[in-house]
Amino acid sequence: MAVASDGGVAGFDIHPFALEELVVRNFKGIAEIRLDFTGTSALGGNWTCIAGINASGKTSILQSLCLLLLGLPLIPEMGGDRLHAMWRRTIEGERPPELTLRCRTGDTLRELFLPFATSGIDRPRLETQADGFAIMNAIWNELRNHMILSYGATRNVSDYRDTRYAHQSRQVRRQMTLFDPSAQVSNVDVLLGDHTDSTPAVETFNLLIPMLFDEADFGKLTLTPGEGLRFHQQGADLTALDLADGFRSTFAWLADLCTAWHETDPERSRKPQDITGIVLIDEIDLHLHATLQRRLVPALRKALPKVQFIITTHSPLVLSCFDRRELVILDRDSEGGIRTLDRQLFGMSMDDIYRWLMDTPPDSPVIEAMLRDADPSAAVLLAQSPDTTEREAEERVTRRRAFLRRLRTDDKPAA
Amino acid sequence: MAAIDEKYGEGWKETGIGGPSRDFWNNPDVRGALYAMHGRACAYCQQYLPENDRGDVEHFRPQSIYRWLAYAFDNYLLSCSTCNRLHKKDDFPRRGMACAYVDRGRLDQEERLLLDPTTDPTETWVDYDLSDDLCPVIPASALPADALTQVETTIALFKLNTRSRLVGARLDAIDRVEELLRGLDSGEERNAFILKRLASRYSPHAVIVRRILARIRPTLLPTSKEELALLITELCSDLDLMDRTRPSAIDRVRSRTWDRMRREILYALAVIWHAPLGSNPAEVEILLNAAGIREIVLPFRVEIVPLSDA
Repeated sequence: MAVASDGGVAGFDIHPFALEELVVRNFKGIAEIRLDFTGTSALGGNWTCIAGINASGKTSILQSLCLLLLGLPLIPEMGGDRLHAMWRRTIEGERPPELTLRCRTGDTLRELFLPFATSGIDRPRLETQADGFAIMNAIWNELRNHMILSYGATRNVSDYRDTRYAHQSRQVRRQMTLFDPSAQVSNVDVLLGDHTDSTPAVETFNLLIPMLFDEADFGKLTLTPGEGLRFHQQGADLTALDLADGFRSTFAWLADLCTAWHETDPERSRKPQDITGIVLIDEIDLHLHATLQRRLVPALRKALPKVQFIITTHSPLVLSCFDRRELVILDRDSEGGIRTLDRQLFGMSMDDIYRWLMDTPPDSPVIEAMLRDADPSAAVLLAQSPDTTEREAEERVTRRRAFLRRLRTDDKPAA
Repeated sequence: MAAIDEKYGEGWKETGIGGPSRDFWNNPDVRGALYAMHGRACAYCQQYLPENDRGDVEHFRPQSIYRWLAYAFDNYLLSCSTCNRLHKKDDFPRRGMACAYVDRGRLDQEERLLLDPTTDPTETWVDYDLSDDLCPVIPASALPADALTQVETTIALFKLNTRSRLVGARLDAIDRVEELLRGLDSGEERNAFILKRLASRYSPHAVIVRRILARIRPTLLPTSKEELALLITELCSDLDLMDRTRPSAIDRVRSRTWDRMRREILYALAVIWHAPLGSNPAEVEILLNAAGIREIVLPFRVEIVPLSDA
């Protein structure tokens, strides 16, 4: 392998590129955590689903991975303050993050390393890595041509023009919703119709959407280059901004993905099945109705089989779409901060998943509070069910009360 | 279990070092013996244990504190995952120190604060406040102080009066009894049999059902012998259902689960045959014969205790 004059490595092909292991140290709330991406399943596609309670570090893990994929050349665009905010702060002081990603480029296992310093990334420390530094730079250079996308948990579409990130390269701007809750998904122009040069992206989008949704979900949909998205619902003609939140935030990242795919090369295949890349999505179930939460991941597996997805979710319906080897369950009480699953979720009910995996009782806290206060009106509430109306429940409680009263007054001798 | 002692000796119990590492307590013979003891109901909350929560083999004294009791059958109970994992976890409320292996002879003097469902007369120690619409579990009147504390601690730890599903299921059991009695009074003779089954000690929420029947229709309370016959019938019909839903041999994982569950039932029947509560082995044998499964259960029966020793 020849080291080129610019410090890069000439003639370097990273394809096929696959993530193997992520090690995060001293990143925000995380002291150290290791994630394995090599778990495979028979379900198709390449997926990792991260789950855990709030503040368990899901978003931090996605952010670490995103930074490692952007690499030294692009990270400074994030801004020094933002990077410094990622340090781990404890009572003993603050510590700079150290991020490591093991990945496979072709047949070779490589390591990308990002030590932080006060000024951003600790470049002098990286340069001491001898050959390693040149190879890392070569990989990062190559990754610029690789589709890498991040979507934070507040991604949305709006016609407001946010210019704060205008100075950034497109590659970095595409990741910003993961780091800034007020940022916008970068390439939604195609949905809104103010982008004239979007024909290939629109074609891909129009192939992709029917693979994921039914016409019954939102009515008839048309996306035309330069005109944006139009859909027809109950006789009304509506735009992308009128879509229900769940569709809008899902369409936003799908449209961005189609645009990003064709950006470097408009002649690329229009077929969604040919799209390659790495997509990080925080809370994939965002705003989606339960029936769609249930459907989305299996549909994406089929529609985008060559995209590596790393996602997070709070939804048991989404969790139950994954093989246990694809799931990363963050749990501070388990060794290494990750709970290893010794069984599959497919056969479990949503109740089971809430109880067994998420340590959450799958019932209403309202009735629990009433029972704690020994509030007798809870009896009528407990008797209501999909088969029993409130009126029927009242009748049942009245009948039970009469029965028990008779029991107490009859006073027959015990056996 | 005896095989474990033979293999690992007693040393690890004293030192806490070494010893068996596998969860032998999930073996089919252990689970089977527990089904024979508890039926398919949680020993703490009496909830039915359905197919997707077949119950945990629960260490009454947690193995995290009482390592030496990790493989002692007397320390095992059948418990639903909510009681075991959400509420009891690794707790064992008591006054004073946990009894160590060297003091094992004085285990029964330990001041535990929980009811032991297998040794304490739970049924006479707990009552239900039937004047309250929620019919909460309460301590029986005039209990000695120690027993009162144990009942109160148990009710609080397992949240027996504040778990909505549990309270709902208990109230449902009362409604079912009311409905069956109403039917019986208008000529539904079969209901007498159903009520007996509901009142059997091996049925879910049997304590409240028995309490009601004792007051209103004591003749419907099953005898120990009837209870056992009902349990055997139930296990036989489980076995029959399993035999009719055997997964294809190609499906290795499901076949293994199927085989394990089937063996659990057979061990349960074998344990009942060996030591029937309130009946005798000869009568159990007649019932097994009548169900046509004596020959299937026999090898399991011999495995537990060879017939010549019995």
